[in-house]
Amino acid sequence: MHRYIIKRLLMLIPVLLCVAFIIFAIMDVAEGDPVYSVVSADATEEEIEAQREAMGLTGSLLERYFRYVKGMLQGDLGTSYVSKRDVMETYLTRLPNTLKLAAVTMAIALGISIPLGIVAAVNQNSIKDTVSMILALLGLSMPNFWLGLLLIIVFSLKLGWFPSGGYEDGVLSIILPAFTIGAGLAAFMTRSTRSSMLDVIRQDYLRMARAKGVSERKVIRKHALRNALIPIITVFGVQFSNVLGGSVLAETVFAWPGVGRLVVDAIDQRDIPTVTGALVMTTMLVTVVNLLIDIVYAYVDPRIKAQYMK
Amino acid sequence: MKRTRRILALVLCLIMMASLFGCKGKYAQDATAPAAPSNTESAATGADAAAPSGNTSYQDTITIGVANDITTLDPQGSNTDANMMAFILTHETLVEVDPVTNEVIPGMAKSWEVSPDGCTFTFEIPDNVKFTDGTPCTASDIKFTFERAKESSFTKTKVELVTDIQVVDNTHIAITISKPSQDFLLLLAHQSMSILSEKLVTADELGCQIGTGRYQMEEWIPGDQISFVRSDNFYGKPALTRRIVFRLIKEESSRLISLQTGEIDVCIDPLSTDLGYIENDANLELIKIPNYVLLYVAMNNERKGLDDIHVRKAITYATDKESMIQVGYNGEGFVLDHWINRGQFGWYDDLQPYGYDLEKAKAELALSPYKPGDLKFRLIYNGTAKENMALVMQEDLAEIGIGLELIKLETAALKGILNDAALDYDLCLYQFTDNLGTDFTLRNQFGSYEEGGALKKNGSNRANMKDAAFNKMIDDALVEQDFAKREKMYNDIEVYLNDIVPIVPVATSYINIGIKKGLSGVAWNGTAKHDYRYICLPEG
Repeated sequence: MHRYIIKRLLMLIPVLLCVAFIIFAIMDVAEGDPVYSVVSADATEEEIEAQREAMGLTGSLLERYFRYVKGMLQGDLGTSYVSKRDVMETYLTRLPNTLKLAAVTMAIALGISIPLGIVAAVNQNSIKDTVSMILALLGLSMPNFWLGLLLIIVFSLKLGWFPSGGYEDGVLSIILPAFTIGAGLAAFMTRSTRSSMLDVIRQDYLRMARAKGVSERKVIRKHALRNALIPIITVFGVQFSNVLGGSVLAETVFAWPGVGRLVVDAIDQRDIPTVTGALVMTTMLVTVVNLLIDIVYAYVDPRIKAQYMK
Repeated sequence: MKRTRRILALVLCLIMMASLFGCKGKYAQDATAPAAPSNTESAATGADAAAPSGNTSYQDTITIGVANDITTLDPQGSNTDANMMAFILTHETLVEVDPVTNEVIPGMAKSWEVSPDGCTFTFEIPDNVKFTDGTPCTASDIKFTFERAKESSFTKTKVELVTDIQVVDNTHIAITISKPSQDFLLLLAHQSMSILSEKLVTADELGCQIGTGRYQMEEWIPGDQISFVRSDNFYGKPALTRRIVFRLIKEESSRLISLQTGEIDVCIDPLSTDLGYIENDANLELIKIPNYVLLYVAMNNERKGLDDIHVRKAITYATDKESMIQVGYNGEGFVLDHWINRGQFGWYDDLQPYGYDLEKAKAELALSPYKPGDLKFRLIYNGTAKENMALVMQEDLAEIGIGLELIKLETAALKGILNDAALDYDLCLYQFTDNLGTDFTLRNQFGSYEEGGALKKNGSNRANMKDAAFNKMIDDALVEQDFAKREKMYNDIEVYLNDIVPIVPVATSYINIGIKKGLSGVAWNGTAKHDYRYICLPEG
């Protein structure tokens, strides 16, 4: 198991190098020279060149890339062209907000999807199943930004229960953005849970358990759900990684200062160090989350654990 | 089954009851609250300016919802409106511009004298001016500031005429310029000319964040918010509001809802389609002021086709400004046919506008060496409003046989292309914002300078116009001391530009701001650089 974890962590290195290179290459071919977005329109050629040097924009794409990688290996992700602040410091300021939002979002998504998916599967083709699937379809069809604005209008403007944005009101601030992102995820995960449960429910070992007189509640909870968890965990992992990358629309609507908004604002401002640094860090985070998910597989399913042991 | 139905019914009942009976939490405002009187057009300026007085107690913190982030706290490090609003709070300039009369009035300098030849300005500052860290501000700090300004690409044009700066004593400084300039004081009023501390800036670059203003920076979280607190070291009357926060809320609807719920006190630039919500809310007030943003279509005068005056005139005739305002500004704007901003000195009332006339446009194109279908240009722009306007232009130019390829860019990429020495663009839908005097507007937008025997365009000259005759006209007007003659000279410049059409002036519009009723003390500015130094909101 340890060897597997170390192997996965080592695989992170080429992934990060590739991500950094891809971002460098994309920003390089994008229209407009970043130096001109920082200097005044009245800057002389000498001033422009001095600024280019200060921004580390001299040399070929490969030279700049290797300079960046050298700094990255020493924990230096560069300085923002716009705010002139250390990128790592800026990223670390935003990360807790994103983690908090991601955690509450996933809690909401799991809290809704698992019970709803089980109820739908256990009562297949009944009214409960139909209602669950309609709710899931609604959650999937509603655009994030629209649902966000709707929630703000109802729960902030009309009822006054939650703040309309920002993060200064603690737990209350997080509910609406988390529900906005979580609704779509919950819908998707409800369908996955239902489908996964339906596969398991038809298995012979469940019929055997029932025949042995095990209660239906216990059959579902102990035997069916546990075996249906692998696909659910996979979906959870992918969705959690997406949320960690930032939910730009919800963060924008709720003025939530997370990583997603940081990256999008930086792209808008051609702030290459911030874009690259934030995406490299996010890649690292997503890879670690995926690794944790793989480890969780092993604990849920002994067959997978045995494979790791080989 | 029955239990599920019961739970569902209960939840639905609770939600309906809450909605029907207006079960409001702390984030919703009471629409029946009495309205307080407002004074939003205050033009208070100067250290001892009058602000609302009496025994009224004021809200401790005022939060302003803004759309653009602050990027630097170095006054000489940028020229964006968002940054300038911060510098007004934290720093001071020698002189200021009265937002109502547009006249130059005292700022940090309590008075000044001009030499008979109009070239030397001697300013007197009070002897008790202090930076917010408590260190004194003297004339040598002013000298340091202006010398540093010569090194910054953002400020050097404002001090390019300055030839000598003499510290007379701690409270007097004499600044000499190479030739008389009627607009020199206006340039000194720009926030980028805010006075810095020599000692603090020399010791640490971050020292430029400290000025002599009424407020000092408390906390800055880039991409989120910045707060300022009242300075105890300000030498004049202290500000009424202890703390001012600029909170970044990029999404317009969210920004307005935050105002409606009372989470912010000022909402800058709500959507023009949402203004009705402010007008119909008993707790809110809509501030609507004409802006100084000159929207234009820059035509790169050195590009093939656009170097021909008839082609430029054809494009001008084919530009339907009314429709562009309708689709871009939701009808909230004015057609602009002039070459300087409204209200600026030299505005010529009798200027003959081109108007929208496709037949005249076709006739002009026929006078050029090009036939319909010969020309195709790329139009670059940013933002949704300009995209809608660009579509109108594309359709109209197609009518006269000129093709238009529309290219929407992010703001930074657009600025990158416009500022790039390669000048790789044909047409650009862009804007010029400033009210620093007629000379500054004309020189920046259309002027050029000589270098190595050739003319080079000035920074904001997006038309890439290089015209020695025009340069002479603005140079002559700048030094003319006779008021009437000078006005006539600027009138002639407007006519001259109208004949050669280097750009197509399109429109100016409004700046909209939503505020809580009772909020006062703000000098709302048509350039969007609002002055919040005297902002206050009575409690209760």
